[in-house]
Amino acid sequence: MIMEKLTVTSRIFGKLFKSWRNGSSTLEDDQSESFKNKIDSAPEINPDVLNAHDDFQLHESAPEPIKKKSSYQFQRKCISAGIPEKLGNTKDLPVVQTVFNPHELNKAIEAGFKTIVVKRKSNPQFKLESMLLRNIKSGEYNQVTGRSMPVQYARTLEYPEDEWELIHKVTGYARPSSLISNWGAYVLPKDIKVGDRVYIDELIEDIVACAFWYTVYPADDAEAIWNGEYLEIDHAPYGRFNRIG
Amino acid sequence: MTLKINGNDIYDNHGRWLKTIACPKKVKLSDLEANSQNNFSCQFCEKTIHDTDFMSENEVENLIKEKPTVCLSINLKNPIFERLE
Repeated sequence: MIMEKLTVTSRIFGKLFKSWRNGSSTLEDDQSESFKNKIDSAPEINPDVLNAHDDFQLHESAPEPIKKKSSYQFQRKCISAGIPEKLGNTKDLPVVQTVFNPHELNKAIEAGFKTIVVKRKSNPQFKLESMLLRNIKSGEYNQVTGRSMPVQYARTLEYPEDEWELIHKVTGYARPSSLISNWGAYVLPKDIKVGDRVYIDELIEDIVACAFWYTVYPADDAEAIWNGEYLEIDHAPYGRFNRIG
Repeated sequence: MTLKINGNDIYDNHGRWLKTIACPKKVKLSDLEANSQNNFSCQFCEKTIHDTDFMSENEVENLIKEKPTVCLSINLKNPIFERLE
């Protein structure tokens, strides 16, 4: 029953996502014909339809329904990036390896592994924006989100223009490695079946693990479900950084 | 002074148990809507969930002592909480 549901899900996703082969990547163009047949098509997510499948219900007996949305819908601009957070393979799941160059990708394919090429897309939540200010009298520097900056304990810090001069508008990205290369590939366990939960030790996608005030912490690893086409990242495990009750 | 977190339990600075954080509805952060008072509104049991990101250690401790059944949202990156596990 679960398998039937997941197959239906796959068909739904098939309609929702554009094929990687029609995307802008030229990676595949460089592969030999035999590799072309082995490389799976990895979908490019169309953000307009990201939540279109939210009404779909997994069977009641599904042990761990996947959570597709990040817990962090923060509205504040972040100033800094925290150390990437590692969940660890606490459930002893089959491990998906990650490669970032054609040589290792080809080796995996030749060894008979199924692989998925994934295009890294920037995550707007990782965009860092702030202002570097200098106190005109004291010369003290401060990096702030604005002239009026709410901070912990319900306080607001004020930086009026007649006291603090703007030195630079500061920008950054919380996961700089994504700016170095915009693709990676997952090497799946050989015996993987549709619906299997796996552990990704080195995550390609830019996902928020947690955030606190003006610091965002990227996820370094993930749990995911193999749906037969790609790995669906489960955001639920990142909930461990919060407690509610 | 920090509040200690061990599993789902909160303790004060002297190790005295304050509260167990356990939502019977298993509400997640993404289920909640922030309101104008720096708190969250819970649509499942219509209670206010106090966002401790905006509170001091003393405010959290006093609130729990005053209302033991109060609902809290705790970010483990918040330096007012020390994780013992």
